[in-house]
Parts: sequence; structure tokens; C-alpha cells
Amino acid sequence: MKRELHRFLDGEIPRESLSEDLQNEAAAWKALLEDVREAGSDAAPVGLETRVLQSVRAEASASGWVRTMRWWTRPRPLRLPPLAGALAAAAVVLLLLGRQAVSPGSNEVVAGLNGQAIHVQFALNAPDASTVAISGDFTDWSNVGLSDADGDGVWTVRIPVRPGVHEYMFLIDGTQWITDPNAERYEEDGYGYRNAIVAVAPPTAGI
Amino acid sequence: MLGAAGRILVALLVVGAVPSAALAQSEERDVERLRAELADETVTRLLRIIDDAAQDGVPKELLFRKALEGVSKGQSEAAIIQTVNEEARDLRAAIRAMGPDLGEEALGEAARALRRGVDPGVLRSLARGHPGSFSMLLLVVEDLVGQGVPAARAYQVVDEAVQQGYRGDRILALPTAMRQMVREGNSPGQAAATLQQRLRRNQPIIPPGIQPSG
Repeated sequence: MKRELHRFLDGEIPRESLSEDLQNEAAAWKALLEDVREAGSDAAPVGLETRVLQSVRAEASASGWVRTMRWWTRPRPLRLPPLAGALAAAAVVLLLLGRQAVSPGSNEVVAGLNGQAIHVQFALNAPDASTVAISGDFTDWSNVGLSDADGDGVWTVRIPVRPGVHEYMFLIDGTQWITDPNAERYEEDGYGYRNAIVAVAPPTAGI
Repeated sequence: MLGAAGRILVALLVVGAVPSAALAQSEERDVERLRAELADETVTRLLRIIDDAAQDGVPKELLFRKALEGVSKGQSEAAIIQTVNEEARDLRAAIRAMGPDLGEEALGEAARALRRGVDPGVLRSLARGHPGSFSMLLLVVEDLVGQGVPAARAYQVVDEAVQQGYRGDRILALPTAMRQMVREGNSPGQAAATLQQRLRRNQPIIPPGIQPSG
């Protein structure tokens, strides 16, 4: 981390003394630190005991529908004749073959395993903007608004994004498409603009 | 009343039907969005392009996405048709180069890499060697190639990193390390060779004490 950024986060220097790039980075760090602060307690949440007891009582007085659903979802020993087991296995094979015909490729399974969304914070320094939105493949190219709650000109939004490589742009005041100046990679979009590229790595195993 | 085997079969059929239904719903939503913004004739032409491409194995979702991007960016209908056509062409080329078994997202990435001139042989090695992490590794290979590293060498660097247990953000840091070494006066080829050597010896890719700066 840059020394100036350290000093700003320690409260030693004002935000205005940072360069535009560092201001954006500072906004991202501040949001991250707030998250960490919010998630900092190890104690059991207030009311946990009551909720546990309520769920125990609900178990005893569950309706017929709920009991049926539990029958389906709760693990239980199941006795099957070998023929039924073989039929079930054959059905699995047929289903897998059928699905391959619709959507070929083994990568989809991997994408499913790694497919949990990660919250990514996007930020743009646009002090003169009245509104800022982001649009990308992870929003199906629909606009999602950014906010600048403290009025410092840095607009931010946190969006759940699946691990992978994604393209996006910012829209200022509903009319002006802007390429993220802080992105590390870019791609021509075929419409005369340059999309910014964000690579979202899975949180743990995998790449 | 169904027996145990019958229940299992019903459950399996339901599980199998869900993704297809979701796919159809998503396509329906995309078409609705296009119809809301574009003339009927334009939507008809776009659907024809998308259906034709799908017959060659191109995932429809990638082309709908490109069309919606154009709509979102306020492009003319002619520009949207032209861009979707070009995207379909590039995706067909990617299927020809990579075979039909690449997943949807990976196919989009392969098409982009081919547009940038990445060697199809390197793409195939990457897909064969690292099918589960193709997109992310390809991005790094592209980045290294963009810095002047020959594609085959770029692949070796990435492959070495994976073998040494590099994952996620550590893999994405390779291009930064490369840039750093080039700034220090190495040629891209030398820098890639040094990087590969450091990886093989399990040394830090950016030596301690040096501040990476993008």
C-alpha cells in the first residue's frame, strides 16, 4: 500500500491531499474496513437463544406439508432392491447425456462449483456528476446506480459478481458512457467504446 | 403410491428439468427486453442471427448479451445487428479452434483472445491442461502476450505458476510482476524467463523490498 494512503487511513492527512487514483483506492479501503468493523463481534447474535427455542417448538407443531418436505429433505436410510438402484443409475446417465446435448462442455460444472458470487466494490471519482450507474455483463447490461453518500465526489457500489472475467462501463448522468480509468485491463466492445475488465478470483481453492 | 425407486426417478427428472426451464426463461426475458427497445424487424433479424449461430454450437446467451449491451449503450439498430453478427462470427471461429466442448464463458474468452492474436495452439493447451480455470489463466496469458512475451512462453509461465500452487489473486499478480521487471530494464522475453525461474525455485515473484506499482 502507498505511504500516502496509509497516512490518510491513519487520519494523518486529509483525503483531498491524495491523487485521484489514491482517492478511489482510499474509498475502497474505507468500505472494506467498515465491513471488517461491522463483522467484528464473536459473540452470539442477540436473540439467538430465543430463535433456537422457537424453531424447536415449530418442529413439534409442523404442518403436514412441512413434515412431507422434511421427509424428502432429511437424510434417512433407504432400502432399495438392486434393480431399482440400477434403474436410478441409468436415469442419471440418460439425464447427463441429455443435458450435454443442450449445453456442451464440462466447464459449466466447474463454474457451478465455483459459482458463488463475491461482492465487488466499484468506485468512480466523478465530483461533477449528478448520477452515476454501472452496467456490465454481470448486470445483464442493466444500469445499477452508484451512491455518494458523503458527497466527496467518489461514487461507489458493491455488487455480487460470479468468479470469472467480466466487462463493464460507467454511465454518468444517464448519457455519458465512461470507461473505468482505474481498471487494469480493457476490451473493445464492438460499439466504439472500451469496456473495463474485472477479473474476480474465487475466494479459496481454484483459480 | 410411488415406491422408493419411483420417487428417486421423479426427483431426478425434476432436477434435470430445472436448468432447461431457467435457460428458456432467461432467453424469454432477453427477447422481451429487445422487443421493448428495438423495432420488430430488427428483433427478427437479431433472432435469426442468434438461431443460426446456435445451430453451429454458439451459446445464445453470449449473443443476447452483446445485443443488450448495444441497447443499453443507446446504439443504432444497424450497429447492434452488425456487432452481434461480428460476435457470432468470432464465436464460430473460437468453436472451430477449440472444439465444441468449451463452456459458455470460456468460449467468450477464447473468442476475445483469438481477436487479440493469441495462438490457437496455446489456447488449446490451456483448455486441455487447466479446463476448470481457463478464463482466469487466459486473461493472464493475454496480459503477458500484450506485454510482448511470446504466447508459448506466456503459457509456460502460467503453467509453472499453477504447478507451484498459485491460485486466484496470486495468479492475477503475475502480469504486475512482469511489468515490474520490464520497468527494471529487462526485455519481455528475459523478464518472462526470470519469472518462470523464480516460480520454479519457489522464490517470490516480486523480490522483497520492491513496491509493486501496477
